[in-house]
Amino acid sequence: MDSYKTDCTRIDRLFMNHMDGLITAAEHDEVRSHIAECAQCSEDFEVYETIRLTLSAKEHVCSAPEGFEESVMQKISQLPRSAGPVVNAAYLLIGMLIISIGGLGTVFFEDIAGALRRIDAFPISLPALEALFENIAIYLSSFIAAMGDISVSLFEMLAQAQLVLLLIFVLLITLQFFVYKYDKA
Amino acid sequence: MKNLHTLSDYEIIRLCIDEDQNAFSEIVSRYKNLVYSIVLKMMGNTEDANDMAQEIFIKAYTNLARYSPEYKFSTWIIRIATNHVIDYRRKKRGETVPIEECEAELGFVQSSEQTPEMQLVKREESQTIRDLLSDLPDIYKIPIVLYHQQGLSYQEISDIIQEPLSKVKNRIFRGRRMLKDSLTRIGRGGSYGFL
Ligand SMILES: [Zn+2]
Repeated sequence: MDSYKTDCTRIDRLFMNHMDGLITAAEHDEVRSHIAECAQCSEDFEVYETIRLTLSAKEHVCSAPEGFEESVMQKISQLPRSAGPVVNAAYLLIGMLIISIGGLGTVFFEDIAGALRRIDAFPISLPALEALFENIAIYLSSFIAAMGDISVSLFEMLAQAQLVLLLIFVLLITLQFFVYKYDKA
Repeated sequence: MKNLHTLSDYEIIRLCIDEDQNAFSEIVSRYKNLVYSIVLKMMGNTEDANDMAQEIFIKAYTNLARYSPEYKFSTWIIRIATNHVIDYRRKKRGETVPIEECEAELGFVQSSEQTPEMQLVKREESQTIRDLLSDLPDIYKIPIVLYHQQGLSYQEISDIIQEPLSKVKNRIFRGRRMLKDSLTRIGRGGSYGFL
């Protein structure tokens, strides 16, 4: 009884190989002699064959309806124009550079006391900050959307590099803030 | 103006991104039948399939910059298509529809050398199998549609659904057994002898 069951399990596995076109002549013979004696497997085999032939008869492709391309291209032409990842990345980089230069300069290239005296003129304007955060938001949302689709492309690597730069930038701002606080105290 | 027909998929995609969005129509015309067929087989209804196939191309277009040529374009777009269908079904849970076939396929059945009665039996039987297939959960149905109906390889399916080969194989085997069991249960275990 036990060997009977083991046999049928093995035969079912061979049916799978057969459906994949991966069965050897010896295995084929084994299947043939098993199903000659086993009613259950014999029936299963017929059902599997019916399934395989029915499904693979549909292998060829159906035609998309008339006017398909035109309709798609028309919808594409109505999409809101986004700046695209390269432009967004460039924006972000330039924004960060402009905003950082003043701060970096004060921290690294002048004496701290002199820098702190001019800290009231700290060069972040509100509109510049808004524009920066808007671009960061756009970029992050497209980055998150990208995670759902096919993985690593150049743009995502670029996005990761930007995130690192962004972190450095935030650190520098924080550093400046504490230097300022410390001097006041 | 370059002749688009002679360019590779990736060359056209670069062209769409860098110069000319209209080049995308060449991509649409290369892959529309593939995408439409797969969606039709998963959705079952021609009108929804048409809308959905168009949405899939628009989604592909807006994500074009993320296409990586390490995959075939067909793999990439089928992945978008299957995710889109799964999302759609998640929103409309519970609705199942019988799978219709396109005319080409009906034509195929008619053209074979069979008596009208045999054709009728065969057509009923294949409708039953398609109904059973459409009732399978997506995780089995999608690999089976892609493998048996679209003729993709295990490797391609593994790239599309982003699961290891072993899992793809298990799901296809499991799906076949589920189909076999339900077909046996409703007593349509066919009149074919094939060894
Ligand atoms: Zn047996």
